[in-house]
Amino acid sequence: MVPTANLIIKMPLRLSVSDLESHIDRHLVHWHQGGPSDSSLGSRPREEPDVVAFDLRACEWIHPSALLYLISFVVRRKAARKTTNLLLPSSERARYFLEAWRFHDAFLAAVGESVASVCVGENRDFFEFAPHRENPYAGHWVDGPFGEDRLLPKYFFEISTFKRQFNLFDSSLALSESARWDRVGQVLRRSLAGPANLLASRIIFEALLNAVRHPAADTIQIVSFMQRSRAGGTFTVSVWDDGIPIGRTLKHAAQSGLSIAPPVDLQLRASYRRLLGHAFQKERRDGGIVRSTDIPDKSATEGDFLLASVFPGTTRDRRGHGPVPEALDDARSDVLAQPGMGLFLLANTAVAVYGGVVQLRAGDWNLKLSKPPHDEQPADDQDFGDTCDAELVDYPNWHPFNGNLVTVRLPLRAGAV
Amino acid sequence: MSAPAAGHQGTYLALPIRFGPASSEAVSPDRVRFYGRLASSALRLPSPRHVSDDVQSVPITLTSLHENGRLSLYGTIEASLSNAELAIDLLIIDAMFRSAGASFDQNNFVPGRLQLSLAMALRDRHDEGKIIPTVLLFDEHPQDEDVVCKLLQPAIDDGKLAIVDRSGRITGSLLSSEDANLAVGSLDGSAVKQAQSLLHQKMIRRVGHFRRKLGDHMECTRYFYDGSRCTDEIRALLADFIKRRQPDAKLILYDTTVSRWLQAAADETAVQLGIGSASLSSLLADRDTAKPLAEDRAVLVLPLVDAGYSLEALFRRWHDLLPDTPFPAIASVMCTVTDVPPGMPGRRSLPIKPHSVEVEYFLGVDRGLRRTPTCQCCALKMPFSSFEEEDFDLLPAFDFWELVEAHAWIDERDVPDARATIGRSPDFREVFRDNGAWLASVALRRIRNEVDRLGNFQAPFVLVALDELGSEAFARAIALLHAAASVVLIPRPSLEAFADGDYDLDFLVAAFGAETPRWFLQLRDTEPRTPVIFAEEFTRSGSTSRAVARLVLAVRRSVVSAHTLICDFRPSERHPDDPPIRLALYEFELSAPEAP
Repeated sequence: MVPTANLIIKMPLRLSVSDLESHIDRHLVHWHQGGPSDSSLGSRPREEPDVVAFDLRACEWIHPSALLYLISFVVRRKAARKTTNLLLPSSERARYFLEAWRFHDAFLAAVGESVASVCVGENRDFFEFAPHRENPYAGHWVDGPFGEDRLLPKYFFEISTFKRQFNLFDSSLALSESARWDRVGQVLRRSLAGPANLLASRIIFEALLNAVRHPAADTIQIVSFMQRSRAGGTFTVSVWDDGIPIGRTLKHAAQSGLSIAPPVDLQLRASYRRLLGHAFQKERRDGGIVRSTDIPDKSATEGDFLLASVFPGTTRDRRGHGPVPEALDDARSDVLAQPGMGLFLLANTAVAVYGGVVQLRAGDWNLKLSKPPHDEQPADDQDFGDTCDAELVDYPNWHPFNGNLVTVRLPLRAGAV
Repeated sequence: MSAPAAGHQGTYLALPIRFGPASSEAVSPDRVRFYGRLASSALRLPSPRHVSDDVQSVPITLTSLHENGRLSLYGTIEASLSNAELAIDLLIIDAMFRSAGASFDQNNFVPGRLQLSLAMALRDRHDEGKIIPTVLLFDEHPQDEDVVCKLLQPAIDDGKLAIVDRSGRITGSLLSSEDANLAVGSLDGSAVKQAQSLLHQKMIRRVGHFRRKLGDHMECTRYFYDGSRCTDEIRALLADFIKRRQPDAKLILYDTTVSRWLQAAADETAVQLGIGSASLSSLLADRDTAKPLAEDRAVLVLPLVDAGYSLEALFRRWHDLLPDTPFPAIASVMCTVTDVPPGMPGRRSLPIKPHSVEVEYFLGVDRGLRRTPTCQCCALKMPFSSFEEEDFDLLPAFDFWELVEAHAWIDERDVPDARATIGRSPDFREVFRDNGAWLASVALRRIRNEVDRLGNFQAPFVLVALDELGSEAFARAIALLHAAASVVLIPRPSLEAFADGDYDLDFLVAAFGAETPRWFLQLRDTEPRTPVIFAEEFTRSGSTSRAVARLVLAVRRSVVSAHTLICDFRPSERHPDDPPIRLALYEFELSAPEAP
């Protein structure tokens, strides 16, 4: 029997982050249309139901990144004293999948209560009996540079959670984690378009270091997944933190009089499109070329600041890091060695080297960086800059996303893994 | 570069960058020979004998990755390059960490920022016109789109820089492709030897009461070999075996009936070589499942060959189902040996009528077989041990005393001044030689479980030990299983100043003389928040651990988080200056020794 809830959000057979987001959006729009009379699209903050149930019963396949999104959603609602329930998949296979990725541990670590306590409906007691020894997807122990790691079949780590009060929350964490992930890079090395070691040493390292440095981040979660097809496939890694959205951080810094300008023009260029409206009302606007010297002014949107964070060194001043190390007087040296390089290096590695996509969901905005079509790339890259397409999406009609979710998708070449 | 005149002696400086350790490390002779080959080729000299070397490893610590200006990674690199003697003919910067066949080692996770910092430093020197001919060694070649490549391109275009990667691929005109390949190829042979040595050191020989079916009867064994920490070594050796014995293999077959750890190594070798892997016993279930075996060449890898019963069963099953298909070449991670000492690789011929089958093994071992009628553990009604996991946090008394009784007791070595000798003592050096990986794995598990901050996050820690046989052996064995652990060896005389609470760091430093000892720099410069663990073989009065705790507090301004040891002879005693956590693998209350 389906429990009582103000809103039941039914999830599809295959559930990805974008599916999750569009289903939330769609259900909330419908709820509002029949909901409180003062609610209208575009007005904020919007009312949200006191009790929401995520109905995963139809799900046969769930992308692990969607689990991070789901957790972030529950964390936000819990902070707003709202109740979120889960209806677990009817498919045993899908439930085993959730268990194998340690969804219950990740949920407990981030939300602070057991997933079993929010499960309702037919399979609500599934996690009370975890772990199930018969789970065919359960991980096995392997040795790693820091000791044992648990790997799922196909060499993926379960969702890892780091809490500020328990872990060394600095570059040591990023370093240790990137060491673990080197194994994944080596497994994928025949399929990646670039050197395998960059997966761990740039993408994981930079993504985690960014997360650690986001103000107020107390929880970080990381997960990856691979989808193979005859033509190749995709490897995805997602890192979520519950800190202040980076666009808001930068905007606040600018409004406080701090400089967020990179000290030199590194000639990173980007064209961007801004899409306004929710999932059903997209308005396209060409933003044209954006240079690293085009720093948003105080009145710019958080989206503009989010875009600016792609440029190297932009975020360096937020926490008081000086622009030039004492021992150095070459500003350019400082730019690449110091903080604020995270998104730039992620973009360079994931987009320029691997030909992949970087997506940053933070606050009201989603920023997607991808390689422009070949015929739109400039003939001469000045200095060592790159060109990428940046697509900004604004979600003005929904509660801001809780924290920062960075998703890196790398294309895989055809071949055995 | 023009060829030098006959008799010219070229000079190079090699800067091997090594991550983790706090101070400069010795570089292996193999590596120095490799540099010599590269240098003689780049300098167009007839042989490595014509170059004179200077090798100074560049330690990169965690601190270097922090954002503090002076300690930035770029600053470290820049300082090393500035120190390079201007009169040298060639600079070799070694950021090639991966050994042949290995997936990763402790250096391999150096962030991309190292490459980036190197590229920037070289670019800056090039822009200033100060760059000398440089060979840059990376594990993998940066892509054209990589910002690293873009930074380095001007120096490459000017013929001042060559990049060589682990596969021998080269960019730049300093070296020919053949020279680079030859030099890099010389590293492969040493990598296999290194893998053999590490396999021996890291193979965990669990001691317990293991019972399994052997042929048509049950056997008890005292040992179960757990290779779960040796995945990289097995992969390197298996890949080498396949390249030598069956280069056209399309499938790796494995048998994990008892030793499930083998599957990860077999799978990852298959991934590395781009071939398939499968469990042989599952393929031999029936004729349909066995079909792929007739189509592709395969190799079989076994965890351990003892009497050969399991292999014989597989062999007969194979020939029942696939009478026309030859049995695959066989590698075994281990093989019991009786006529040669354990610890070495070798070959063994097993008679399986009407044939004999040859097995190449990577490590000879002693199985510790105990036939049921004479099994002491059975006689004592000891429960059977699990093959999957350790049964106990501490060593059972029966196991501990068997380990120490396996070797003659010796007069206690390295007795602290603060107490009298306990007289005869177990020979822990010998105990470690046979059981180091197992004792270390049990100790490591307890450290992880009980030391704050090391549970969820498997962070680096500093292992402090005395520069003495037993203590050092224990610390090294732990560090071998936990690559992020840095071992710092303190000479006992340096503890004298810390024998009681009235210690004086200045007194210690003044005694150093002209050269500050390496252990002091290591201890002082490691990441301040990294937990420190003190390792020793046993404690009697606790005076040593307290002195170490005081010394660490004085040098690092941090406490010793835990004291790990094999045997605690004073489990009921606690002193305020003791490290807060004592993690002994065995506890035994020793009555106070009489004065000598």
